[in-house]
Amino acid sequence: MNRMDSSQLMSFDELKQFESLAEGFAQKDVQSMFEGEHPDGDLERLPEILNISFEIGLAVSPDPHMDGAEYGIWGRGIDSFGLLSSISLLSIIAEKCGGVAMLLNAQGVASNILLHTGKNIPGNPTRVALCLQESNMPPYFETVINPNTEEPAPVETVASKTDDTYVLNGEKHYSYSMPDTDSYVVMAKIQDKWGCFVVPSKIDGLTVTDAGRRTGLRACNLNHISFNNVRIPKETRIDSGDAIKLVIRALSLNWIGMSAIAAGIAKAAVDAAKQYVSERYQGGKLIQEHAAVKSLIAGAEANARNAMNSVRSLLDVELNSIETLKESAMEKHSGIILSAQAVTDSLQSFGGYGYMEDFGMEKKLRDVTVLKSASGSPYFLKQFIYDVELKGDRI
Amino acid sequence: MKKPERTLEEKIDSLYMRKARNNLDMLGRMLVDGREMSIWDHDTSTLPRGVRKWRKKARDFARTEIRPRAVEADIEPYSFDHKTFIRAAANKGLLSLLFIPPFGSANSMVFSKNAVYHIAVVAEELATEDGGLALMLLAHNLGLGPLLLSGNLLTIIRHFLPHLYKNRWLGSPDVMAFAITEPGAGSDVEDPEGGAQAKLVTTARPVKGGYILNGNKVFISGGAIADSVTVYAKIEGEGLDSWTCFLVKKGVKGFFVGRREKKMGQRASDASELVFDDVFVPKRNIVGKLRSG
Repeated sequence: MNRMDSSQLMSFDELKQFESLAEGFAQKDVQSMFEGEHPDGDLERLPEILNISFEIGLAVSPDPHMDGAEYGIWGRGIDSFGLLSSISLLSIIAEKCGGVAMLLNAQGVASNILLHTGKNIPGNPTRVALCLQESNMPPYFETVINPNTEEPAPVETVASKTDDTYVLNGEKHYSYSMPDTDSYVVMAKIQDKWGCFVVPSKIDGLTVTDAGRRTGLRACNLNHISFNNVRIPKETRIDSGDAIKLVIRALSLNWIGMSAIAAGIAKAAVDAAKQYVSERYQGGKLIQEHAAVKSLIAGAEANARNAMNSVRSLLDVELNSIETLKESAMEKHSGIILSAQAVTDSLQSFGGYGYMEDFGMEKKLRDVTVLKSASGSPYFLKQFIYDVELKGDRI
Repeated sequence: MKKPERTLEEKIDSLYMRKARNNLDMLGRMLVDGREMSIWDHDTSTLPRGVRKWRKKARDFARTEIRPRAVEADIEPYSFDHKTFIRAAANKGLLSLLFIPPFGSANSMVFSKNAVYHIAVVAEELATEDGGLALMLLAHNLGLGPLLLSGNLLTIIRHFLPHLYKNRWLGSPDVMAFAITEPGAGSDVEDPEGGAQAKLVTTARPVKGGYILNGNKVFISGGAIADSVTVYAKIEGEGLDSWTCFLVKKGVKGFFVGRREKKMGQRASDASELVFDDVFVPKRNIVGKLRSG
């Protein structure tokens, strides 16, 4: 697998600066959502908090002149100084709220695709979301490398070209996004290739449907987007004839980001559990003195540490390659399983309180559970990983 | 003459157990079950006759009564009409499986060997549709259990049998709950070592004609909807070996429901705090003997 030039990577001191920015945002702004009885945070406060994330440059906009375009989460700079800062920032924010971190991840992935192409986007969108997944695409490797394949399933969102416009038809599922998304980055089939289109959210024929009540990551919008003869100008196509590299890039970033979020949640769960068992008495002694509790916490801490180290090991991968996609899929698969186990074990140390909303542990379990199954469940990821092994050279 | 080539369907058919079994000797045919049935039907057929019926009843109840209520009960547990649901379960005999007819509905032969066999099998079936609603019914049985398991004839005649009669034959069930867990001691009190070390603080002070209960119980399944609870307390001034079970009815002075926990799952069944603030319990409501909790 291709790696970046290590001399170009972000220095430790630079990384610390970004991390302290994210810590301040998480501890002051994100934490403020959890004042009062809000198991998923006071979601009415989200718009204000997201505005702050743009202002301080954590959230990335597709506008290259805005703060954060370079150094924010999945900013353009990741191609030069590596992925570690984005991974760290997501983890730190996820320690407070996985849903907010997922919002920034979704915004970052879609923005990065646009920034990477370097094209002028009509309408200068600020809040963007990726539309890649389809109802029949969990995803399959065959479909990723050939959107026209019948086996196991073709991409059903199709773009057709007229004189100076494209017409989109189809439906995308499970698109994570910020509130007030103004454009969607849509991966659609055009003839037998992938095309990447920037589609304004307020346009005739485009319908956004809320995916409904969910287990976790509730701070992050989740929508199904349908396209019914949506006409967009030809300038909104941002790939150069085949968007497969952009599809690979988007999948890789999203999976790495989700794994980073899970690792952050796991770290927070372990920290909370260690605090709890050092204060809670049972049977006349602190429960941290019980062998079973020691075992739970130690196992959780080891898993959380390994999950974090695992995702950080991808700090210098070259995006766009099929090998990186495989690494990302493996990270999404195994990293999140480790994180989920750490969260489960940490929660167990709370006894019954772990399942009550007041302690915040059940939210962590809900969030990490969704991360495990969303955008590629372990079952499909395993098939995906092995299919890269078998058929990766076809790309 | 050459045997005609069999089709794939014929080859598959010959490999089914009902056919393959015919190739065995007589003893083998006796030992191998070649009946075609679902795993559920097969498992059910291996249960004692008296339990089979209840497994089927429980499955039917789960499909017809739990399935249509499951989502509503999970999303809106506070406004869920638990009374109608519990009455439906009582009418089917699902809340009186802790005893034999005419008061209870358990099969006598099975019950004589294992008093909770029916309930375990039924619990599995109920939970196939919704763990929360299943827990609502099971928590009732847990609360009822001490009245029987005390083995005390007075308790059984005064409280247990009338409860079953009202439940099974009058169709107006009283909901029971089991109150043992305290803020400083969880269900580990049911384990001998855990119980011996537990710091339980709910106490019963002897007064004329009964006892005064003081203390808090937490995470009590069904506590908010229960009409009566079996609650455990130690006698004031004594150790944990004085633990005694009391039957406390809803509405008595000083007994009220405190915080109802916001749970992650099984939300249809509440987990509530029960507060005992100078609650007078008459002697006749001691479950079993003093210090036999």
